[in-house]
Amino acid sequence: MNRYFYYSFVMVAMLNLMLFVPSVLLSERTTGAVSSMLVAIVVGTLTAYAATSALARYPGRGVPEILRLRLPEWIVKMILAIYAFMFFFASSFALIAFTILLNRVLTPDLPVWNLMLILGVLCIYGSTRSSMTLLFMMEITILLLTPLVLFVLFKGFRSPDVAWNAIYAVARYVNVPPTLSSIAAGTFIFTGYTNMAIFNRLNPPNFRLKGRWLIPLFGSGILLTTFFLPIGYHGTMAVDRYTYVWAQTADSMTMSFGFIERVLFLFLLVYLGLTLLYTSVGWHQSIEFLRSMSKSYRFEVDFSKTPKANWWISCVFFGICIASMFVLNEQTNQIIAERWLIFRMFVELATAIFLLVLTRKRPAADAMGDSIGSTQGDAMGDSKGDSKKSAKGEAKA
Amino acid sequence: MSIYKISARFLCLLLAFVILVPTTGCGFIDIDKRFFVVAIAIDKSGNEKKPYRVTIRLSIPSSKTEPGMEKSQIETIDAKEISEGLRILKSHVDKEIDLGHCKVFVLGDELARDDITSATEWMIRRRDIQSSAFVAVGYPDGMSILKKMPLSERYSGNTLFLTFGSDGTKSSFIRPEKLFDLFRRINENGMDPYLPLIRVSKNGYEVDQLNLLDKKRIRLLLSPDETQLFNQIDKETINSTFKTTYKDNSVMLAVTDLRVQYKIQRLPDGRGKLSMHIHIGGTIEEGPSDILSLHSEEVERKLGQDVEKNTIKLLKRIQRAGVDPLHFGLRYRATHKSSTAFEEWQELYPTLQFDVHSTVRIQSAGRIH
Amino acid sequence: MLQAIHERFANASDVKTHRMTNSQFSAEIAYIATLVDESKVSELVLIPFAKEEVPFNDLLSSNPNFSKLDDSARWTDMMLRGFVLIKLEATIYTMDAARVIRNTAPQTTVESTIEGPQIALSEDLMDSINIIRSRYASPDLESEEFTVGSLSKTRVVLLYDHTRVDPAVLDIARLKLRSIQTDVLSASGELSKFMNDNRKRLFPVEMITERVDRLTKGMSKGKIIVLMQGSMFAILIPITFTELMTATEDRYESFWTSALLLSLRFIALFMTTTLPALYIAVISYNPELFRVQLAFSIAGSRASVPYPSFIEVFIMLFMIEMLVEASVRLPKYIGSTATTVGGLILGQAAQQAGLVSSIMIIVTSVMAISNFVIPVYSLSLSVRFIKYPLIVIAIFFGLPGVACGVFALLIYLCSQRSFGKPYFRLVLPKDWKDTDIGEVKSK
Repeated sequence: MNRYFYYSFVMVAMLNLMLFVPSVLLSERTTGAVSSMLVAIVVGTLTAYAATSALARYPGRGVPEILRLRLPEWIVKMILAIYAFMFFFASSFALIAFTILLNRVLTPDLPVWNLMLILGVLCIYGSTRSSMTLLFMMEITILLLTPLVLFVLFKGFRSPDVAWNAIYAVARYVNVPPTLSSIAAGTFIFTGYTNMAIFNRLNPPNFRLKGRWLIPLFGSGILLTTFFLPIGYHGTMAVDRYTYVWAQTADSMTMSFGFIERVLFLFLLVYLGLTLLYTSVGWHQSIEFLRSMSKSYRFEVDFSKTPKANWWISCVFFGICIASMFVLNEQTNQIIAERWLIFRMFVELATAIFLLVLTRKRPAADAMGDSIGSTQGDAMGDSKGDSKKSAKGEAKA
Repeated sequence: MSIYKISARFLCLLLAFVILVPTTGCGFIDIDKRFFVVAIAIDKSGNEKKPYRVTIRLSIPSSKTEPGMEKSQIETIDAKEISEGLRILKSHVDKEIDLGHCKVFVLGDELARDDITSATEWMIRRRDIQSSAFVAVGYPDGMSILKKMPLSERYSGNTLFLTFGSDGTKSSFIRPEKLFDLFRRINENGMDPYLPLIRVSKNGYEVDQLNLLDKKRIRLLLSPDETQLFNQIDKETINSTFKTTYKDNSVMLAVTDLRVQYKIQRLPDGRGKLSMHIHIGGTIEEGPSDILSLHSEEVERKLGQDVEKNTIKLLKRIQRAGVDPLHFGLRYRATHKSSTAFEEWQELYPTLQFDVHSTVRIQSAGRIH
Repeated sequence: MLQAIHERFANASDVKTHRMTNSQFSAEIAYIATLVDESKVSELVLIPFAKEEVPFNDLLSSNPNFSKLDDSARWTDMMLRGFVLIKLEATIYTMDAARVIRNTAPQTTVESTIEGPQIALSEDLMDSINIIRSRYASPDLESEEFTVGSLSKTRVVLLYDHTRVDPAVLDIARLKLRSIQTDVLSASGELSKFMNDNRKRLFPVEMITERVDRLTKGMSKGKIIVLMQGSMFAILIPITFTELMTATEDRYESFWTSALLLSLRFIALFMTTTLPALYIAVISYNPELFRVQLAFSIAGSRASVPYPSFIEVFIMLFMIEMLVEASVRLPKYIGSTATTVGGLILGQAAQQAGLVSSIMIIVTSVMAISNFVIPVYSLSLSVRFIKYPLIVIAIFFGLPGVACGVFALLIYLCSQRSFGKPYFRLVLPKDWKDTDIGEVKSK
């Protein structure tokens, strides 16, 4: 279903703040960030197009199943392990970064790991649910939070406190050649499609991804806002001095007629929801990748009884998060984030190209017909499947 | 079997509870056990060893809220550092001091004429201080501003909040400065900070003047009229007025429409030129009778001349003080090649020429001609 | 004729058919037992036919109660309106024997509306089916009967529209009804509990309702009605959370009115679950959340309260829960007195005595009133419960705790399935037959 893809896209795009994308970009604002963002829009869009069109040929199958079609088992196992790590790392990192931020701003008197405890337990609960539940969860959270985010951004851009001259002044650095770390940071906005790696299993056989032009449109909108709005609020120089530049930007806005006066609280609550969602989804993907490493694993997109393995893997994730809380702080986080963003970009580029090559050989229609009768996927209720197929056939005729 | 299962679950829950409960508690302080600081004043004490005099105004909430009934407690201390002073002040009161609602910071005039950077850095670093708090300069010092209890106040500090906030008074003489903006201006190339001046009056406060600062200290104090003109040029503030005299009558134009456009050019001879166009539309509030039918054009021209003259005078005054609160420098950076623009601007600014034009249009003369 | 009727009402157990013969004639008779007054049938048809005082064909042609029906397409239609079909020598006669119980059926009391239908289901199973059948006159309506309870032998009937029902849900429902093991079944709530996998569910995944318009509308959307003898409440499955939040009246009003009402109810739901928890979190952890003026007036009104905020909340919640319970159990006329005494006088006195702050009184009353806005009673009970876990989280973790609690509730709701169908979902496919996510499953 189309909209679920876009929920995932919007979620990741909005979450970029927790992975220090603005910090990386803003630290290079006069040394290539502006041109890097333009490159990132192109690269990010192309990667997203490549990966989505590859996955769209195998509706009803996730990346593990697609890989198994063509590759020897040991390579599949290795690749799946890497993916599992990638998803685990990104989502846990976002969770840790947000926990530290929340603790600094909202509950400075409580110890950090106390907050981590409750957020982590919630992520365990969320990530062990079935893929279907997570998609419903994503739908409701994104639909509830996006209006708030848009409202804050609208409010932000309309405010007389924005120094547009500062934005123009920074935009003039467009002719400085791009840098690798800025491109990597910029492309992160476009990586919402990665969640399709597992969620592609839920797509119905006649799935077609429509409206992909929204990807560059929305992605570049978010990217430019992420970068330029803080500059508008904090100028070209002071913007670099804040640890959490977006939290600071939100704190600089006020709603003089709102029930809650400080936008900061709205911002924190929105990102609490987004981070929890992102981490739950990320851990869930990671769990599924890990479990798919066993060849005998048969995935279920919806279950009423949570498998024990989910709980165990999730608890281990949580344990690692708690342990790393004691090592990490804002400075190390930022360095790690910068390195990780670059690493991630290459892995994702490679994956997209690889998938495209892997799926290029078969035409779309063939793939579609195949996936229904294949060993992995099977239509749920036969009468239901039939009636639907015939209905679609009539519609086409 | 099932009983075992249930009791195991129950034990797990109990265990989780036992682990969680002791971790909390330190953050749990009820609202009535907190002392809300509504304003902080930072002055120079004159003492070498303890240079800062920190004054806080604490609100004492009462269940009855009537004008003038509010109660406040003022605590003051001299300290080496601002944060240290605050920490000592905590021991002077019986409740937890909470800075979450502190929305007004008053810097003493003397401090502002010396160096405000360390005080600003402290404010921006404290995570419990709002970035949208207002900063102002108190005359003669910050403490006396805090000690004044205005007549109409329902809540402690409310007068100051309403004065600066946009939901209370909207005077064209008041120019609030928010903390994050101050910090931005201190750091920015081509944009200098300003701070409004608060003085104590009989029933409350007077806030109608503006201090212009370079990155560190006050360089210039604008008069009320100049402050209004400053607001008009910078923020295109409507609800303001322009004045002139016409045939010994004073003419007052209430502005309903104000547009200011300007352009900075680099002339061939290496000097800079700022050409500004001010478009004013408004209604007459004071003036001779039959002003609209008989003297409209004349008055418009007269008003325009006065605006041009005053504006150039104000701009030159600001230029002479060596500050740039109207962010001309930033505009120059935004419109010229970026990497060397600021250095160019620094050369240009001291000799910048001002060329101000204005068009005034009187839209009506109020309820009488 | 009987063959044709059996074909048209394939699974309806209440369609009765007879073939009778006397010395002269052989006749066939068909009717729907639940819609027809059977004494009338025997008085006017069966007895004359057996007694043979008049030749039966004369009786049919002379008696105005009987009329000829030539169009065989109208058979089902007539039967569903309570007519009896009699076939005598290749001629079909109809007779109106509809049982009208509209005056005796009880009024809706639990889910009352202003302009909607006022008749509720009856405690008698046959009467209930009669009411439903008469509002849903379609030959596609089918019924299946089950017996539940080894001692009570309660009759339970499944009603559904077989062209619209989702077979997967129907299978689950049948399976669940067959597998119930109990001695006595006495109420619909009990039945719904037996039909659930998880008896510790926080939210109802089936709707218990007395409103016929809800049932017929639900049936037309492919839902299944479970009726039982001895209860005037029917169970409607499968349902979504939004349906539990919708009053039947919403459908009768204009779009904007009902949109407003529905959003109002969701806001009320949010308030009734989170207000007390938010009170604790804001008062005790983050008083900077409010604008400064509000914070000061709250601080002022709390100044005389001697204990921490959560004890204050518990006192008030305890009081309000007692009041609600008391007014439910008391007879109607005393009930309102109890509420007045408790609500007005106790609240006022508690505030003046400095036991609770005046803001807390407002919080409590808003919370209680918001709870009553929820149109379905079983949901309103669940909602009454879930605020307590939130309060506990708020005590220990403050504002982020409350937000996390709400998020956990969302996850919980999203993971619920009502008889295999998604329960809490914002946008539903229009028909269960439309393509949806997650249809391709592994074996």
